[in-house]
Amino acid sequence: MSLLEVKELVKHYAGKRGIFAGHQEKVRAVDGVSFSLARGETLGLVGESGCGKSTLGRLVVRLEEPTAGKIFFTGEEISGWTGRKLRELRSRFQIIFQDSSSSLNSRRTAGAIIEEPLANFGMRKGERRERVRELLTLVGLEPEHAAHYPHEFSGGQRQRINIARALTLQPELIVCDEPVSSLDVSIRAQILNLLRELKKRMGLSYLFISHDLAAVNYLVDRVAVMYLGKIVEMLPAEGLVSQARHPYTLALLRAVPEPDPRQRTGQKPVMRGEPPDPVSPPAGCRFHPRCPEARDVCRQNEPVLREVEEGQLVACHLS
Amino acid sequence: MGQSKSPGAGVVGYHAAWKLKKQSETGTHGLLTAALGRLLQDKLALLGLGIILVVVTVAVFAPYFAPNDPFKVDLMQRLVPPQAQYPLGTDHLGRCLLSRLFYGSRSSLTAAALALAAIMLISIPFGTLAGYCGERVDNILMRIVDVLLAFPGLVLALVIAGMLGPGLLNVMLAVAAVRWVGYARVIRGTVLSVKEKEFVLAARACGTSGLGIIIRHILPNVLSPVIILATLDMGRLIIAISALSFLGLGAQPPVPEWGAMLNDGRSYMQVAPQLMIYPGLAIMTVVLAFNLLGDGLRDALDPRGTVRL
Repeated sequence: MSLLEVKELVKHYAGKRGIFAGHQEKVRAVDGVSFSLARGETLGLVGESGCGKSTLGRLVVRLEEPTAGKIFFTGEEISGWTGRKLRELRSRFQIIFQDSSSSLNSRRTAGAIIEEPLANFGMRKGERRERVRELLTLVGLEPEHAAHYPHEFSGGQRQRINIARALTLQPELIVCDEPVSSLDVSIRAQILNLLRELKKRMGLSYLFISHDLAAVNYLVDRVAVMYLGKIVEMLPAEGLVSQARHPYTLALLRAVPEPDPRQRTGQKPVMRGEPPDPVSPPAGCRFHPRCPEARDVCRQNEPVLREVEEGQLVACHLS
Repeated sequence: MGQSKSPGAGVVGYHAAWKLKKQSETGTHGLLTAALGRLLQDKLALLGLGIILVVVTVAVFAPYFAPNDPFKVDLMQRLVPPQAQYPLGTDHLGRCLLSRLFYGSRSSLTAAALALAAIMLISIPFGTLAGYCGERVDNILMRIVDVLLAFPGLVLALVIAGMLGPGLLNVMLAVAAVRWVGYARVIRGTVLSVKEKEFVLAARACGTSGLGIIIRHILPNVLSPVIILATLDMGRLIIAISALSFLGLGAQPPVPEWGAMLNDGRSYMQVAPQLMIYPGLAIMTVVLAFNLLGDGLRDALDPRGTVRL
């Protein structure tokens, strides 16, 4: 049984409304996504900004209400849960946000921030203090840091506090929503190492959202590539470079800067333009207007996600 | 974190570096202390604060400061110019102008402060509810605000005060009934922006209840704009209350109040201009002081620290 299973998840936001009422535009942030995540596994979710990956992460931890579709957590359907039942469930999955400073309340000390989940779940004050000290040490900070305010920390340290808060309730799943994107390159490796070590130690599962293929490759077991609200390819991380088939995945791979000048191929990026407006996605394959290999069939029929090899799913007519 | 081969070993290695960084920083002191420190460096704000403190002291200890009884009528000494016994002269009933100014600060300040308290009492729950609940609740509450805002404030206050009858308490209520809408709007707007912050989402994700989120995360972050607004508005409240008193709706004779004193002195402006000059100066000084302090607070309470001009 998988830890997390998502079936045909859809999230539409209400967009602009015409002056004379009538039709309402819909922003299709997530448009029919299915995947599952095993216990102890890390699934990377990559895609350009605006492709719906953050929305998907927030849907999974029930911070957003799905428009349609189902979420199963350890086999139980949790998508309809509300109120008290949902709040009790929240100790089992957590989320780490991209912006390390706006995800910490600037008026509360690090200790108070980390303590809050414990207070919510009724731990006594003395025990809470003790646990906060443990957690601070666990994420590589000092116990004395509990008395400091967020603005007294560096970006990397703040992200450690976020991680500590997410770990407080000993969750089974952590959604990492671009946890290193707002950090300096030199700090990124530290945080990624920390996440990796914590996973090993505590048996965590991650849904790791990122637009940074290098970061993803470092941490994850499987990669799901999202484009305009849909998953277009899903494959094992070790096969990402060698096995990828979807033109979009290939384009993303080619966009990764090559540090070694002798290795540079001189190939120009294959993808042009911006992703289309999610209000009115193109007919047929959503990627066809930017795809270098688009054919007639791509413009007419939307490809479905199907297994092309053991563990690899692709939504493309050409593969 | 002992194992040397695991990737976690790097985590230990970075420890020392952070320790250094931590020591180089300013150390532990609360945000409020920092804000106070910034405020103490703002000379204009300090001037405002100083004036306010002086006025408050005078108001509290008016009986000790006042040279004469503010209610004692002496028709033989009507409209006398400033002299030793009456430092600012007397009014049309021969009452000591300075003593009346001192006692008048009591009415003006308490009326404004109480009106402010009433405003907070209405606008904080109202604005928070509208901002936090959003959608339909927000729509209904904000349309009420829009309707109230469409009326000219002072005229509406005049109508309310007129209906309630003259008296300082009624004027306070009238002013509060008109002024709270502006606060409700600011509070709602701030709540809306704070609500979308990721720390609120994080609190929700870790099981904090709606009320807990409002009390622990939203209200503390709404507070500083409200304090700034309130301090800046204190001046305007004093003016509004004085204006209604000037029109005869507020403090009733013989109670001294700055606005009422202006009105009393109006008929004698030609022969004894000090009857209007001094109450007018008093109002202006206090209003200016509150504005200076408000500006200073705005700069000081912004945790990021703004550039001062």
